[in-house]
Parts: sequence; C-alpha cells; structure tokens
Amino acid sequence: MNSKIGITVLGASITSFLILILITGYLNETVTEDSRYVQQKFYEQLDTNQKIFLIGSSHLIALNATHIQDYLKNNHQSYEVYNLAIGGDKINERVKTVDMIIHSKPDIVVYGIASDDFVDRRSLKNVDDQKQQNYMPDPSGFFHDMLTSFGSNFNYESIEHPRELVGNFLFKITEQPNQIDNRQTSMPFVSITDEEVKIIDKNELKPRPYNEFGIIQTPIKNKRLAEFKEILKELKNNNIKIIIFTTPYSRVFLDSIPSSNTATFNLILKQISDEFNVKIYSLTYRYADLNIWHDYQHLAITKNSIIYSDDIAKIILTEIVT
Amino acid sequence: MLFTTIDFIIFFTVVLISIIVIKNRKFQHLFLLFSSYFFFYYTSNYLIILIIFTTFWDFYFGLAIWKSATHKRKKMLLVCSLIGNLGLLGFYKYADFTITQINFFGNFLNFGNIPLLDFALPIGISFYTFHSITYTVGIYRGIITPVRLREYALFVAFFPQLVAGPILRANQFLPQLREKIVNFSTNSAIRQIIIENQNLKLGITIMAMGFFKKMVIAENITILSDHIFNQPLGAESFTIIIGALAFGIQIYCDFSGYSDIAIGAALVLGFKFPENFNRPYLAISPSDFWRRWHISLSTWLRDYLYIPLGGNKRSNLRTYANLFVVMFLGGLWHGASWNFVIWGILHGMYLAIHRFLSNQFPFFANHNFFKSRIGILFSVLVTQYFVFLAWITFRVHDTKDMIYSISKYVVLDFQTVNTMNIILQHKIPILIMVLFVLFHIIILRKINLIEKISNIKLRWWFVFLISIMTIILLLYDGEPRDFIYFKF
Repeated sequence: MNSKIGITVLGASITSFLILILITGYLNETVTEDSRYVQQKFYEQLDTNQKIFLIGSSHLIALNATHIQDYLKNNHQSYEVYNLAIGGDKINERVKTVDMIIHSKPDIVVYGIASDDFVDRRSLKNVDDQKQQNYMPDPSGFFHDMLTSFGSNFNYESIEHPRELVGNFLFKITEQPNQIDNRQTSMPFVSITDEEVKIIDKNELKPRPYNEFGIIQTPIKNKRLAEFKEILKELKNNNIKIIIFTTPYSRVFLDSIPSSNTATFNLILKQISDEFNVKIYSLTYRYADLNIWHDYQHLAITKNSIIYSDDIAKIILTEIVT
Repeated sequence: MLFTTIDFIIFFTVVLISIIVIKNRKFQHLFLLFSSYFFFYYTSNYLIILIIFTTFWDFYFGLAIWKSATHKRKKMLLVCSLIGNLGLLGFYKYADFTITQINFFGNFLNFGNIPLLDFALPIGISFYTFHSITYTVGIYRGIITPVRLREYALFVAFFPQLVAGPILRANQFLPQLREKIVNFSTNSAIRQIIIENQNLKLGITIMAMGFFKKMVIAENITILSDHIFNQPLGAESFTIIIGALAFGIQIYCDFSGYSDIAIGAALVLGFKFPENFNRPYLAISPSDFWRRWHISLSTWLRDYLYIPLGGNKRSNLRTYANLFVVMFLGGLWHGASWNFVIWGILHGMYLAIHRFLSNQFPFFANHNFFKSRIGILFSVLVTQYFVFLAWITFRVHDTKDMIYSISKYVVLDFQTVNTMNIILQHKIPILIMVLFVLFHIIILRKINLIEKISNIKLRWWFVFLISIMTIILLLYDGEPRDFIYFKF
C-alpha cells in the first residue's frame, strides 16, 4: 500500500475536523450571542414589580402566563408572571443565563423539568441494546464509558450537534422580521406556530420510537443534574423562592418510556428535593388521558389545556400562602 | 455496530492496519473472521449464538449434501437445511407478528390472549440467512464445492455485508478467498490479502459517498418525512406528496449509503461485492425498477424463488401469480408488519399488471414514442408515481394513516397553505431534496462518476475528501440513527 494515500486520508480527516471546530465555534458564538442578546434585552427592560418566572423547555409553552397572573390577582396576590420557556431548552444552556435571571430579581422561579432534561444525548443506543439484559461482556458499553470519560476533559458542546447549529444559523439569517415580532410580552422567547394549537386525538397520538429515548445517567454521573443543582444553588443564595414541578406527558409517551429512565428520574427528583428542601409537584401523569395533546409530549395551546395553567397557578398560590 | 459512528471508524482502522502489518495469510483470514464476530457481538451481544448456529448448521448440511449419492437424499438434506434456516428466521422475526394476528382473530371468538414472546430481533438475520442458503443450494445445484469451515464462517459473517447486505452468494464470495479466482478450486491456496492502492482509493471514495448519502441526505430528510408521516391525518395532498418524495429519497440514500459503505469497506480489503443500486428512480417500468433497486435481493428472489416456481416458462396466468407471490414474500421478508406486506403486494401488482399490458398490447410496448426522450421521461414519471405511492405504505404507522395518505396522494385537494408552512419550516431538507434531484439529472450520463473521482490526482482527491468530510460533519446530527434496513 502506498503510504501517501493513508496520509492523505488522515490529513483530510484532521483538516476537516479542524474546519468543523472553527465553523461551529463561530456559529455557536453567533447563535448563542444572539439568543443571549434577546434574553438580556428582555431582562433589562423589566421593572422592579414583584415577578414570577416560569422556566423550562417547550413543555411549558402551553402555560398561559396572563391566566396565571389573573388567578393570583383574584386571590389577592399581585405578581407579574412571565413564561420564559425556550423551545429545546437545555439545563446546560440555562445555567449560563442564570446570572441574568438573578439580576432581574424575580420573587419566585417556577422550574418545569422532565426526564428528558437529564438525558445524556450521547448515550442514545440501539433499541436492542436496551432490551437485552444479560451477563455477557458489553464492549459497546465499555467503549462508550471510555469515550465519555475522555470527553469530560473536552468541551464537546460546540460540535455536539453541528446540524442543529447550522440549521439555527441558516434559519436565523432567512427568518422574516414578523416571525420574531410574533411573540407575546408574557412569553418573550417563543413564537407559537399554527401547528401547536391543533389537538390530535389521543388515540391517534404516535409514541416516541423506543430508540429515541436516551439513557439517564445515575445521579452521581449525571452532568445535567450537577448543572441543575448549580442553578438552584444560585437562586437560593439570592433568596429567590423556587418551585419545581415535573411537566406533563401523554399516556402514549408514558407507556413507551423505558422503566429504567423513570426509576433514575425519580432518584434524581428525590435527591433534589432532599438537598434543597423543596417539594416537587408532579404533573407527569395528571393529563395523560385527556384529549388535549398536540403530540406525545406537548399539550396543544387551546382553551381546553388551560387546566394546566390553573394547576400551576394553584401550586404557586399554595407556595406563596405557606 | 453502526457504520456512521466513531466506533466503526476506529474498528475499521484497527482491522485495516492489522491486515497490512501482519502478512500471514492464515492469520489474516482468521483475524477477519473474529473481527467480524466482534463487529456483530458489539451490538447484538448474545445473539451472536444464532449466526454461529446458522454457520455450523449449513456447513455440515452442505457437506452432507455434497457426499450424498442420490438426488433424493440430496433434496431431503436441502429441505432439512432450509427448514432450519427459515425456521430460525421465522421464529425470531415473525413469531410475535403471528401471535398478534391469532390474538386479533381470537378476540372475536372470545379466546384468551397468547402472550407475546417479545424477543429482540437479531440484527441482520434476514441477510445472513439468505447468504447461507446460497451455499447449501449452490452445493445442491452443483455450482460450488464445499470449502473449509473457517472460509464458510467468514463468508457468512464478513462484517461489511453482515447486517444489511448486499446479499452475497457463496459462488461470488468464496472464490475470492482463494488465489485462483477464475477457476474456483478448493485445492488452491488461501489468498494473501494485499491492500492495493487502486482498491484503497476507490474503496474510500465509495465509502465517502455512502457516508454522504446517509449522514447528509438521508438523516436530514428524515426530519421532514417524520414530521409529515408521524401525524399525516389532516395533511394536504401536496404535503403528502412531499412526504412521499422525502421518504423515497431518505430510504434510497439510507440503504444505498449503507451498501456503498459496505462495498467500499470490502473493496479496501480486496473483496468485490456486487452492485446493489443503479439509479432506481430513473426506472422506466416496474420490472426496470427491480433491476435497479436492491439488486442483490431482487436477483436472489428471482433465482431462488421465482425461477423454482416456474418463472415465466408456464402460462401467462401462472407468470402473473408467480410475480405476485414473489413480491408478497419479498415484502414480508422486510419485516413482520402489514405495511411491508401491502408494499410487497403493491409491487407484485405493478409487475403483474405491467407484464399483462406488455403481453396484451405489444403495439404500445414497442411504440416509438416510448423510445423517444419525452416517452422515456413519461415512463419514468409514471413508474415513479407508483413507486412513491408504494413508499407511503412502507412508512406510515397504521391503516388509518395509510388510507388517508394514499387517498390524498391519489386525489389531489389543491390546498397549499399548510404545505407552504411545512416547506418554510424545513428549508434544509427541502434544499437537500432539490439538490438530490439535480444531482440525479447531472449524473444521467456520467455513469462512473465515483471511479472518475478515485482516479484524480492525489492532491485533488485530498480536496475532495476535505470537502465531503466537512459537509458531512457540518450537517451531521450528532446522534447517529440506525439504518432503516437494520430492522430487516
């Protein structure tokens, strides 16, 4: 074999990997900066009134902040309520903006979490890997652990999902101005699309494919949990009241979620509750069988799903009163 | 082990370096065999027992068939061998499907439900079972002679083709393990594996194109086809058409991408695999489509099923029935689901109807219009209309979705509001689909583009590799998805 060919392949691999790091680094900075800029702009314009922030991912988009605010007002609690959900929000991203949240001095932060928030996306495995429980050696598990331990010393985040980053960048530069302005004051970081207001009959909801569930690492190994605790710690140190709830899922999702994920998520919840002395409200199963879903994990944004906002309002009121 | 993971890149590099460094030919073959077992064991764990069982089963039945004096005894042994192979395949792949159907009908008669076995589907079982069958049938037909166990085991387990083909035949692969390839002789020495420059360059180019098809085209288009077909009810006709196009391109790039990586990896190691795809979306008739799509399966079905059933040597009616039966079984081979059965039935109908029309109206079949450019374009469009219609049945989740999607595909509603939203939401997949169609038009005449690329000067090949790798890395999801055909 001519070694020139081998060197060419190796050289091309290294060069393209370096190009990837350079481009994603640049795009990451641009997209993150832009997202942070939008958030910073929002937090800066807030006044000194009493405020409640609802924080989390797309599972919170169906929460109507105005409705919650009115409910509290009717119960003699005057707060401005903001739904600060971000589609695809990740704990590792949120931890970077916690200083902005603290700086705008909310009185209460209501954090909606789901088992997916604690999934290690790099631990996605073939469906059959998860089905097989046996005592044979597991080379793929060993290899994965080896890569993960190596990875802890290396910042993968900027190159973790290059497609998402390129897509976000392209979407941003081709985005129409009216798409940005289509956001409500009480929910400033998300635009509601026509699709999200449609209810899909619960019998027609499709489950998430089994192989799209990532694995939740145990509390000791779970990097997302460490970051979540960091957020809670910061909020607590600044005397901001924390309310935590688990976001709702449809029956079709709950039936397909791997039991190991549920067990580990419960362990994580218990640890958070014990360590920060907070009650964690569970809405996971509450609306599972109702006909108010847009897909297996998102409630449709309609008047039928206002029950979700009602429940959160009641939880907040309970916490304020006690 | 998924081809599109860092695990495979490391595995393949280690195998390649070991083959280059240690030049002992016996070691090379054993090393390839155990590497292949490791490759399979890596994701399938204890299910490796099945492939080892299949190997021993067919190896010894092959020997027994060879040694048998009478034709009757040979036939009986072949039947036993097939029962073992197909029984294992049927048990692991179709047991739960059969139980579900029994339970469904049992419910009408108030019978109790039979619990599902819930076995994990052994990856690649459909492929290595078919590989193995070609060996015993080959010996039975007198095409090949028995080889040593380790050679046969390597043929069944050779890692590039192990989990999703191309479906190799014993008489295509086994001679490549020997020095005298032309006159396949079991007496000739085992071949030393030498990594040749031309094979290496061409193999890597084919692999790069395979990675590109899978990781850039298929995985990006998946987002669009999933979006449409996960909830198709209520979708407009044009949305369904875009979904069908998206899925058709996705499955082609997914599967042909896998085949390219397999063919390229084997070529790097000095083994030649047959072509598995030949621009199927330029097919001008259903039979032409099956000469271009999953060629190794369609020729396998032709030689091991269609011809033994009588092929087209009997009455016309029997020919139509044979086509229908073969495609029905071909559909079922894809998986234990009504989706695949219906998909197979549709293709069986296409082939039978096309054959019927050609027989009944030879005037149209031989008309000059169909030989002109416009005529060929017309034939391509009509054929692909039906091919993509069949893809809907392959992709949807249930009967309700299927009926709705097909009715929207066939009877247009001319609504465009939601379709425009979907296009705007999925700019990258749409752009990739457009580029795919343009690429198909560009390569219309340049048939051996990949060979041309592999023959360019090294510095330009370096630029080609950097460009393709950078595009792959930039448009890569970060979470490798299974190849669709892994399930089969």
